[in-house]
Amino acid sequence: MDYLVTKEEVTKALRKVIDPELGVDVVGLGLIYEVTIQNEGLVLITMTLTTPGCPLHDTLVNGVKSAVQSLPTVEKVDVNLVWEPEWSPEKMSPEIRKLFF
Amino acid sequence: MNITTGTLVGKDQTKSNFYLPFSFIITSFLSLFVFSIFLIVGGPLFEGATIRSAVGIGAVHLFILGFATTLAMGAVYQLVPVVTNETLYSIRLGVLHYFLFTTGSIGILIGFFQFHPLIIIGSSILAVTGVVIFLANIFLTIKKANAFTSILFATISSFVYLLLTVVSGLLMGVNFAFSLFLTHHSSLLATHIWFGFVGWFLFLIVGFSFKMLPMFYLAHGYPIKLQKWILIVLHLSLVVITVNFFLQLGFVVLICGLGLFLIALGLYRFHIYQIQQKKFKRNPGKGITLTVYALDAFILFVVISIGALFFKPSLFQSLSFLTAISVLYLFGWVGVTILGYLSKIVPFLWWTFCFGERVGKEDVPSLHQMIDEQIIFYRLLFLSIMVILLASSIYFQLPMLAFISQVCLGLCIIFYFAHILKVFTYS
Repeated sequence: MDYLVTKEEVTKALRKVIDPELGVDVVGLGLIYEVTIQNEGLVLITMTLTTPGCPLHDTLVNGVKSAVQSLPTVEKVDVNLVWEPEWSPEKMSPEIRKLFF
Repeated sequence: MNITTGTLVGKDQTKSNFYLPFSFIITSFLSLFVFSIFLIVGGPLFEGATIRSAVGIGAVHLFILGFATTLAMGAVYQLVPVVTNETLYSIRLGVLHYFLFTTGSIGILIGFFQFHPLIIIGSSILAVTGVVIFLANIFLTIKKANAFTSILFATISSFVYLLLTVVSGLLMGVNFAFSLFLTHHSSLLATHIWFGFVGWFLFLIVGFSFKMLPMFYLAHGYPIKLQKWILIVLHLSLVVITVNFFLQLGFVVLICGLGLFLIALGLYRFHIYQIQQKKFKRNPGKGITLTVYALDAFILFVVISIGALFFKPSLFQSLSFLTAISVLYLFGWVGVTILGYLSKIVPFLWWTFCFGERVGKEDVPSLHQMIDEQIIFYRLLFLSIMVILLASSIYFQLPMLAFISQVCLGLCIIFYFAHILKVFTYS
């Protein structure tokens, strides 16, 4: 492997994962709390969902995994799903928030 | 940022969470389709301004058991694993429940259309067994997750009332066949209708909305204290009215029970207002917006009905009045609410099935692209108008208008479904 994946590349890949109900990507929604690049192509994503017991639980988590896994320099992706701090609409990016109100 | 340790997520449960709910949902669609055809070509169901004929009762059961109950069961199989974040206790028990309940329901319908008490009794036993298995499966799932919430309390409550509805129906069948306790027949009938119409459907709708409305409104930080009081008062109203059916404690007790029912509805509407105050999305979806309007209309309808009964108690004995309010409640409020929620649930389930594994790998459609909610809104509005016309013509005893509105209602349901089925063209 020539180089390790960068956070920017991971974030760009994550923008392909869209919440089908809201029509917004998981990064813009503020669901991604942290991206950690570990050695040997391991990426750890810490994320949340808009609400515990979200019907899109499996779909979004697997979408995140698939999107990052598709990067050629990534060997393994782990998703750490957390509920604290709790997600709130304030975590959306300002330009996405404008779309709602 | 303070990030607490969460769970490393692995196994995808998308597919296994799809087949069981969808089996119930497809079966319910078929039942509703048959019901609609029956409304269109089955001849007048409301002759003499009542629906007491065997065929009429069969048609109502087709709507309640075949469509609404089957659909609700599918929705619960989808919702409970989501709310508890736990897999269903047993898929096999779910499949067994499906076959027992479907066979039992078909048997009950055949029993009604031929008016054969023994077929009704045998089929009811199958349906009761199915409901008991279902209750056990859901309860064990909740216990496994150790996550008992108001939503789950409402869901379990609704299924207890469903069980009691089927049991009281079964006892009525036994009564018809063997004349064991004739003095309680009317009380059993009233309990059967009250638990079936109100206990089963209302708790389920309330419980579902506790979860779904905040999601669709994207509401956060709303108070939830009221939820348990809504459920407690609703239980109280059901118990007071049912006790009165058997002990005949008098008009005042009945009005108190109905008053409690109205208080529960008022608290429920206030809780929705609390959710709306904390909403982040302007539009939760037109179908969902319509269900909130339908609730407002339902509360107004309950106020008027209680007022009418208070000033004219003889209406309790008026079959045309009781049939009209049943039609408004069942095909109007319950029907519109279920169909409104369906406009969200069907695209979501189909999207999850078809596109769930493709997210992040390729472009996938959004739910809004899969269904035009404006069209859903207007079609459900047409349907509501037809229900009001049907109920009015039953109350004022206008059989020809009742028949025309019955046929139009059947056409409206098919018209609505034609749009819902378009969702399946996406793959």
